[in-house]
This record gives sequence, C-alpha cells and structure tokens, in this order.
Amino acid sequence: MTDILKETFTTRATETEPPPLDLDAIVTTGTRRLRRRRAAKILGTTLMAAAVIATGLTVLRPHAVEPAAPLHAFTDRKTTYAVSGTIHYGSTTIETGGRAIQSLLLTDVGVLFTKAGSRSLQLADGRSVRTVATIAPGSTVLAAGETAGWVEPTPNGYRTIVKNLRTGDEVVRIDHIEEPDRDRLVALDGGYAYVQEQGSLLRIDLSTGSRRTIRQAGFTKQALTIRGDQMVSIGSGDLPTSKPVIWLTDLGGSGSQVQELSGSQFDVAAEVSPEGRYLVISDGNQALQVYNRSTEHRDVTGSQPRIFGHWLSETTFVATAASRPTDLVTCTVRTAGDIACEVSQRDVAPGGDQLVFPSN
Amino acid sequence: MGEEFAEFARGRHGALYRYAYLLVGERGLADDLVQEALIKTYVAWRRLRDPNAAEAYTRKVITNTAINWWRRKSYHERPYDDLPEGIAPTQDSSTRLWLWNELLQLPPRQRAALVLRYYEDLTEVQTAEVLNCAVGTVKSQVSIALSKLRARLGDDVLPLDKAGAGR
Repeated sequence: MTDILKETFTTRATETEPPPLDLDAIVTTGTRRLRRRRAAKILGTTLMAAAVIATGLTVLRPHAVEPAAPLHAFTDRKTTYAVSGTIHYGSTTIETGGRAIQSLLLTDVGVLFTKAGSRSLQLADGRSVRTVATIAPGSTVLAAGETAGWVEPTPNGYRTIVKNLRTGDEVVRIDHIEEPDRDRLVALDGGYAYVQEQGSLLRIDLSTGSRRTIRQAGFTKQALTIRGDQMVSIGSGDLPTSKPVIWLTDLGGSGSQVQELSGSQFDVAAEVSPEGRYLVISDGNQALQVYNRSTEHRDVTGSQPRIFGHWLSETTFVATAASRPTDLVTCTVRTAGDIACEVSQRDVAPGGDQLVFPSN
Repeated sequence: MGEEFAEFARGRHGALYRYAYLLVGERGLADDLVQEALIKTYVAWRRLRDPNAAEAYTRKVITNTAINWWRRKSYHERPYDDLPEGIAPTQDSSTRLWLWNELLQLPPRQRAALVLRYYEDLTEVQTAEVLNCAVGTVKSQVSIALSKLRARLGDDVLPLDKAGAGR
C-alpha cells in the first residue's frame, strides 16, 4: 500500500511545475516584519536585569498576583495593546511578567492573553492573573462579552469549549475524537457561538444550547468571523487562477463580494465593526480599507500602509503605522464617508518590541 | 544574510512548492503557502543559518499553516464522483488518480502525516516533530488515514502491507 501511496505522491509532485519565485516580494515583506520585531541583540543591561527580575518574581509568585489595585471594569472598549509582558488597557497598565504576550482578547471581565511558548490561556482582571485553560497548540481563542471559546487537548483528542468566564460555567462542549479539527469555532457574537462543521455553519444559542444550521453543507467559503450578524468569509474565485475574494454576508440574507485579494491570502485580515456597519480590510502591504456596507463605498486610511488594531466603537478604531516609530492612530469613519485618522499615542514600543493588539 | 537566504530560497523553492502542493492539492494555495513560509524563514534567518535547519523550519511552517488553513476551510466540500466499478490494481494511472482524489478528502492533519511519512520519507519521530504532536498521534493518524483509504478504494487497490496497516 505504501508503494502506491509513494508513487501517487511522486507522480503528482513531478507533474507540478513550480511558479516563478518572487524573491523581491519575500524579502520586502520579511524586512517589513523584521522592523516590527525586537532587536534582541541590542538589549541593554538594564532591560536584561529588568527581565530577570520580572521572571524571578513570576517564579516566586506562580499565580502572578498583581499588587493591590482596584478591580477594573472592562466593559468599555478602550485602546488596548500589549508590548512585551505588559498589557495596556486605556490608562491602566497590567504587568504579567516573564515572556512576551503573544495574543490578546478583550472580554467584559478582563483581558485574556497567551504567551509565547505557553499553552496557558490567562485572564488579567486588574487585580490578579489566573490561568483559565490549557489550550491545544495552534488553537484559536475567541471571546465576546463574558464568554470565551478555545480548544483543549483531551486523552482521546480535542474538545472545543465555550465558557462563561465570570461564573466558570461551560456553555458549549464539542468533542473531536478522530479528527482534531481545532478551529471549527468561527465566532462568538451576540450571545451565539458559530461553528463551521463539515461544510455547514451552525449557530448555537449560548443561553439555551439550541442549534440552528444557518448555512447548509456545501458552503464553500471559509468563514473568518461573524459580528453584528455580518459574516466575513474568503472564497475562491470562479477560475482556478482567480485570486481569493473576501465576502461580506448578512446572515439573514445574501452576500456581496467586497474585495479581490491583491496579496497572499495568509496576509489578509478583515474585521467587522461591533454593529456590522463597516468592514476594515488589511491586505498585505496596502493601506487599510474601510468598506461601508450600506453605501458600498470604500475608503482608505491615507496613503501609508497601516496595521489594524481593534474597533473602539461602531465608527472608531485603533491602528498603527507599519513603520517605526510605533505610533498608535485613532481613526474615525465620518458621516461624509471619509476617514479621519490622528496619532493618539506616540512610540508605544520604543525598544522595538512587538506590538500586540486584541484579536476581537 | 540576503545572499545566503536568496541562495537557499532559489535552491529549495521547487521542492518546497511540490511539498506544499501535495499538502493542499491547489497550485495557487501552494504558491501562497510557500511564499508565506519563506517570508517567515527570512524573518527567522539569523537564528537558522544552517540550510538544513532552514529547510526543516520552512517545511514546518508550510505544514502547520496548511493544517490551520484547511482546518478552517471544510475539507468535506470537494466534489468528486463515485469510484467506478471494476477498477483494478493494474490500472495504475486510474488508481493513482482515484487515490489522489481520496487523499484530498482526508482531514488535513492525516493527509500531512501521510505526505511526511510516504513522500518525504520521514520517520515517525521526525513526522511528530514537524506536526508538533506525540509519536503516538502520528501512528494513529496514519493508521486511521490508511484505513479510510482502504475502506474507500478496497483491499484490491490498496493491499495491506505485510506489517498490517502500513507501518
């Protein structure tokens, strides 16, 4: 059997002619990403000492209890980001110690985060930092309101979990025994969990557990996110050579093609505003685009490439320049249809550390 | 750094592309995968340096990006016809065509495990390293995948190895 497998693979591989190598694009994009990363070699003695102290404190205090501080309300969407091991939520600073923060999510009960090289999903609520789950490597974590969803490894496979972070109650559980299909949870929004399963898209009511199929099997797009009843998905073009296309679809109705991707589909991000009126698209090295669903008008945030941060309100979002220094920019979609952006914080990562925005 | 990386990328691009193509079965997606993986390799180049380490790293990025991508995109959606009756092991090209179609129906991690084991000739330990999982998981994924293929195509087309379900 293995002989015919090997023959099949070898035949297919041999018959496939590689396309030309675009080395310039690789080096240009790689250099841009490098600029955003820490220049580790030039860390000064002071910074090293601070890191050692911080690590030591973490070891001595495994639960990383914060100094006494008032319990913050996290229901407002304030400008949030992390640099190294520090979370900034509005004017509040939360030190987590140790390694750099890798991912960040806003919830109503605190900020969820993961760290590089760690499988712990932790919650910083302004008073303490606690581990809420051990997640599978590569797992996507989603959060909305007081709920969060992730995938945990189990002795027999994997398990998708949605929990209420305030009560600790488990509201959704999906076991994957044979196939660790870890990213089937597409979105948490409006009291629902959206799950893409075997070509169907399901909506699970988090309060009652009832399920409804909202896209039947054969749904051929990859759902990226759902917010305000608007689903963003990527689908293939009509021809084998077509570039992938971003679609914005009203869950109660039809969808429309918003954008043909100019770069790699792995370098695209699309985020819907909280009520679903706008869609921000980040496509490779281009300037951010804001798509107005009702007018189908599209505008860009100036001529410079920017990196989307997160929505602050239905019409306001945070972004940053794709170059140094790392200034935060607050952009507002105005009624006239254009977008006004202004610098709100300068040089938030002066040491060249990576800036991490919430993914929700 | 630039010239060393360029030499690596030019030298290994073809092999990496073919590997990516076997994982995803789409030329455009394979091209994107390799492009993305080479960008990440370029970013990590200072700590990789050794071309062998760079290739292993790039392959790992390709594999995991492909698994994550196809995990999100339903792998059940690909249309294909039923296997025609009377397909015989001697009809090599037909057999390979149908086997290829069946391989594309497998869940991404199982397909990756087969490509790594039977195209790249990696050991179970090396495959586990690339897939970032336990050796036992590699064994079970390969075993399940081979069982599925056999159930679909039949023992005549895919006879059992002497050792059983394919090592």
